[in-house]
Amino acid sequence: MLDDIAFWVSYLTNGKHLTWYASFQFTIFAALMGGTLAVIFGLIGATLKSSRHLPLRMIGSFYSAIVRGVPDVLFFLFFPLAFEQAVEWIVATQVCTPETIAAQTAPWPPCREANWFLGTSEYLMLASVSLGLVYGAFATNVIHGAMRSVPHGQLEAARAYGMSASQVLWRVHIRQMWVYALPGLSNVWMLIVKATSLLSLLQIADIVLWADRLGAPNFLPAVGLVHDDWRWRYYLVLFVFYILVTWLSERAFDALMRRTGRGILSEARG
Amino acid sequence: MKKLVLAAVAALALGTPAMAQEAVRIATEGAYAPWNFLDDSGAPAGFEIDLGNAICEKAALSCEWIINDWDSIIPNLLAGNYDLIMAGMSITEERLATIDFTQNYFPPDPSKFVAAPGSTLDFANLSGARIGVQGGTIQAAYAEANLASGNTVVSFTTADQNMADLMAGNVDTILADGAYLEPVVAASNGAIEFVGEDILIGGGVGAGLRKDDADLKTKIDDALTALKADGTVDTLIAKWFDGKGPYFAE
Repeated sequence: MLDDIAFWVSYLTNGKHLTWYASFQFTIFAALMGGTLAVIFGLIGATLKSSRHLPLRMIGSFYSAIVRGVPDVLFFLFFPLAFEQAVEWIVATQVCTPETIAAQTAPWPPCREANWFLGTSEYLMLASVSLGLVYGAFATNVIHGAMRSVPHGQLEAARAYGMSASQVLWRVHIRQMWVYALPGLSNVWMLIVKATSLLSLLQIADIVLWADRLGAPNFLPAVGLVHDDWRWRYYLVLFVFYILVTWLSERAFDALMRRTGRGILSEARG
Repeated sequence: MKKLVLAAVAALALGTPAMAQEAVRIATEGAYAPWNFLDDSGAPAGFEIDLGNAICEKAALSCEWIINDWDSIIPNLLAGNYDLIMAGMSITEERLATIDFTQNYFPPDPSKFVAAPGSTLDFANLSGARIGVQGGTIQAAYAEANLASGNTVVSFTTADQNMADLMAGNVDTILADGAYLEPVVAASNGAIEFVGEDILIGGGVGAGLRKDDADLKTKIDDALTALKADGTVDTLIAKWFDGKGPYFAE
C-alpha cells in the first residue's frame, strides 16, 4: 500500500509531469492576456462604432461584424502566420542584399537573415493577441449595447452639473456601463477560456499536448512507465481544471458585479 | 543611418541569427521511441540523441536539441530555425528534391504491418481495411500510392496517436518502420503482432540539412565515417534496438 502510494507520487512528480503542470501557466497567461486585450479591443471597437464620423463608424462595424464570423481556429492559424511573414517581409526590405537573396534556397523568407524564429513566448503573445482580436469583436458588441443602455437622464444630469464631454464619458457613462456589460463580458470570458485549449495549434507545448503525450500508450520501459492508452484519464484532469476555472470565474464576476453596481440605482442589477 | 538603426533593432528583436552560427541546432521530433523521445525528466533521449551528441563531440561542434513537430520539420529547416534534422528520417528521392542528407546512420529498414492478435486481414488482397500511418512519412506516401483504392488510409501526426488508435480499434493495421515497431511488438506482451509481408521502401535513415550547408554536411559525414569505423554507431544501434546489427563494422 505504502509502496503503491510512493510509486504514484514519484510517477506523478517525474520531470515530464512537472513540465505538464508548468504548462498550465501558458493556458492561464493566454486567458488573462487574451481577456484583457479583448476588453481593450472591445472598448476601442465600441468607441469607433458609436463615433460621429462615418469612416470610423464603418471600421468599428466592419470589425465586429467580420471578425465575429471567422472561426477562432482559423483566425488562430491565420493571424500569427500572417503577422510573422509581414514582419519578415519588412525586415527583409532592410537587411537583405542581392547576394543573400541569391543564396536563399527556401521559398520564404527572402533571405535567411530576415528569418524570425518564433519560440514559445512569441507564439504565446501572438496567441493572446489572436484571442483578443477575435473575442474583442464580441466585446465590441457587448460594450456598444451596454453604452446605449445607460439611462439618458444620467448623462443629461451630468451635463447639467457642468461636466465636460470627457468627464461625462469617463465618470458617468463608462462608469455606469459596466453593470450592463458584465453579464455579456462574462460570456465572452468563458469563450476565451475555452479557446485556450487551442494553444497547441501554435506549437506551444500546452496542457492539451502534454495530456496527449503522457496518455499515449507506452510499451518501452526505457521511455518511462509502461501503460495502455491512458489519454482519457489525462483529459479528465483537464475537464476538472476547466470546471474549476469556470467556478472561480463565476465567483469573480459576481464580486465584480456587486462592486460595479454600488451606488447605481438600476434594473440591470436584477 | 535610419536603415542601420532599423537593422539593429531588427537584429535585437530577432535574436541575431548571424551569431547563432557556432552552435549547431539539431531538430528532432521527440515522439518516436527508441529513435528519439522525451525521457521521464522531459529531456530528449534515444538512439539519435546519443548518436547526435557523439557526432558533435567527434566534429568538435557544440550542439543544441530542438523539439519540432514532424509535419513541419522540413519547412522549419528550410526557414533556418535549425541546421540539422535527426528524426528517424529516411533518405528518399522526394525529400532529396528539397533538402540534402548526410550518409545514412541506419541501414535501409523494411516497413512492416502490425495489428491486434486475431486480425483477419488478407494482405495479399487488402481491401476494406483502415490503415494507420504517420503523415509525411515514407509509409504514408506508399499507402496513398498503393493501398488507397479500396482501403481507408488514416493519417496521424504522431506515431503515438497511431498506436493509441490501433489499441482503441479505430484502425485495423499500422504500416510503419520495422525498427520502430520491433521493440514495441516485443514489449507489448502479445497485444500487437506483425502481420502480412514486409515492404522495402526508403534508403536508410540519415541526417537532413539544407542544400547550401556543404560545410556542415562534410563535417557530419566525416564524423559519421569515423564513428562507423570505430564501432560507435553499431554499439548505439545494438543498445537502442535490442541487439540489432552490426551493420557498419569493417
